[in-house]
Amino acid sequence: MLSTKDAADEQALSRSGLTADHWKVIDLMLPGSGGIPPARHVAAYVGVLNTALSMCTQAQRDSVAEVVEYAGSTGQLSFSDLVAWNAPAAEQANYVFTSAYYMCAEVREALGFPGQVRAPIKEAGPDQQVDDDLLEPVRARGPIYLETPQVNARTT
Amino acid sequence: MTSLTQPDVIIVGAGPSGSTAARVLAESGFSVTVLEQGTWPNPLDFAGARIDRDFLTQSSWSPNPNTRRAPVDYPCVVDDADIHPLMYNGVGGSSVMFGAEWPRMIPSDFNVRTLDGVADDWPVDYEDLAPFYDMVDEMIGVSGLAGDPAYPPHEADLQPPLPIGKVGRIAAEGMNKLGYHWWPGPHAILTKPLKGRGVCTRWGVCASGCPEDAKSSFDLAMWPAALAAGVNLVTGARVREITVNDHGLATGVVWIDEQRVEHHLAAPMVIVCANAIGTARLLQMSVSAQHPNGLANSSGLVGKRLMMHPMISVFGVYEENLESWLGPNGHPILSMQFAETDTARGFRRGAKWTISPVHGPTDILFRYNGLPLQQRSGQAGIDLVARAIGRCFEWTASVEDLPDDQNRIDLDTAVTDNFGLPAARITYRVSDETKAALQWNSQRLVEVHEASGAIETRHVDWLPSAGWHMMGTARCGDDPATSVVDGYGRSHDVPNLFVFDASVFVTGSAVNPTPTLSAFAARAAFHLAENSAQQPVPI
Repeated sequence: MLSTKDAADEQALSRSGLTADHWKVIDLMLPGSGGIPPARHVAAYVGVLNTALSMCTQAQRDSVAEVVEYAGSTGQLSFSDLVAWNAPAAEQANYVFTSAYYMCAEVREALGFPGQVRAPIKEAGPDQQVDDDLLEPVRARGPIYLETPQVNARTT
Repeated sequence: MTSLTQPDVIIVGAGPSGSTAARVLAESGFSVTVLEQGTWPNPLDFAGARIDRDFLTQSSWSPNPNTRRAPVDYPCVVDDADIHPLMYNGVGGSSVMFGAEWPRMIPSDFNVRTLDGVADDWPVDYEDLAPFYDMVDEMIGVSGLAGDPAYPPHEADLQPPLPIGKVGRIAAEGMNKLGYHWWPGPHAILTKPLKGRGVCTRWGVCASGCPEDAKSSFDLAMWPAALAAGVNLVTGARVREITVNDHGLATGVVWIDEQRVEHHLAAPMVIVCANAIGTARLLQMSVSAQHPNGLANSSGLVGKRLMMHPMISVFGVYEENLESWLGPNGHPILSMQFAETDTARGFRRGAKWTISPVHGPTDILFRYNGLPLQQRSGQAGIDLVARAIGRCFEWTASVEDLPDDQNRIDLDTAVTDNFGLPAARITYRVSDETKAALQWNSQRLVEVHEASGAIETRHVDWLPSAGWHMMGTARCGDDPATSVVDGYGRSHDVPNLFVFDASVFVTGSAVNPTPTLSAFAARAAFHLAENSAQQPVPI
């Protein structure tokens, strides 16, 4: 039984072209954990997922459609059933649903992950830099390259 | 498309070797036309800083031409290939998608036959190329720390090194415990402004497009000077044949424009710089009564001895926050500890080791692909990400691949590109010796992670998606019976035809090939310019 909020979410999803069967898959793959919210509760997820579906490969879109259709044809959805039914499609759909989830700012914030961001090198502190103390053992061992005979007496 | 004026030199391909040769020759007074099948990369297309990078890098911005399937790409048939080629077809070539790791070959790489009794020696030595390594470094902008004891001292004017990051420091501490060599990686990435280009801001997305123009991809770093020197760059120009006359000299090329109209462009000299697959394909397509097996192929070696760099990684998770979303992506530190042969290990030649931060959730989950889906999706998957995000990096061993005649490029007429030209069929098998090297190195990589304090390690097998480095399909040498071109890239069979890209490599080293192929191209171009008075020409 869906809560009132979940039912409202599902209505919103339906307006976005996603169905209850989409939700069935999403809830399986992205149920949240600890302080990391389930995809169902991430406000931006539907929009991001739709963007992802417009950008991914046709093979990925096809896999999502197949998996959603399968979810609608079965009762309780489980990973073991999904993989036994069509492992490659399950993999592709998992990639799409999951990648879209981690594109959401709310999820990244919950993970403490800023994403790929600008970090000027002049702001890198000593804990980010090489220094002579760290290199001292390498320098102390001296050259490690093999001296080779100059087989070709060419000059440039 | 109007007819092009006949130049002194035609260069096929606008990547690192083609742009380097074009610049050197134009600055030496030659008129140069470069024909490039692709177009200029558009920074707006770069996946790098976009939040949807995970999808773009699997479709329109994939390094795999068979996935990307852009109109300018040609298909590569990989049914019989353990490693699939990765490349970018456009101005700047595959440097547009490279990680900007910029290591030189080590001296022994040029003398493998003498030292190890296998493969062949190059007709050039490290010392021959050293001044040209320095020259290219200065041309494009390279950062790094001088004094790496894995190399003879050299005089390159390097920009200061990039930060090695917390990942670099913890990795280095582990290497120090084991007494292994390591060094901050040299990068074709700016740490000081140069010619209007920006400085690295550690986005960490180097291979999918630098948002700051700090990466010295050759579209940015070499082409402006080449164009300023007067090079005529023609994009959307697919060369399908090198033409020859009755005297056995190249007379020019047949190329197809974007409207599918064929043209012939004549020139006294032709230089092919189309990468080890594209170059072999073009030479094989250039058949004639005189050259029924393809051009410059009296040795039978055109297309053969394809070498790539099989690689294996060990992913490590740590307790502390290493901010592993920060760049550079490619080798904050590297190690050449095991680059030389030690036959006690059970294989010949060696490996280059590098570390890479593992950036985001999708990147982390990829490292767990060996687990059943239910252990890396659902709550379990979220827990894996939450545990590793920012706290992980991997060590990778890139293994030298010895030449083998069975690893090769052939034409596949059953599959064609958008112009009806045959696809390149790749036949490539990883040898048992290379498999032994991968296995041995992967065990050592676990040990260094453990020395650094990793709480978890996992092996990551990259094959078949590891074909960044393609080499050897038109090898150089002094003997026309056993090589395609000489040490300056000149064809033994067709003396005004040259190959300057990594096709010429005799052996593949364990390091990234772009610094070496660029240095080879610079050296060969200078030699061509200095000896042009003796150059046989058809016109």
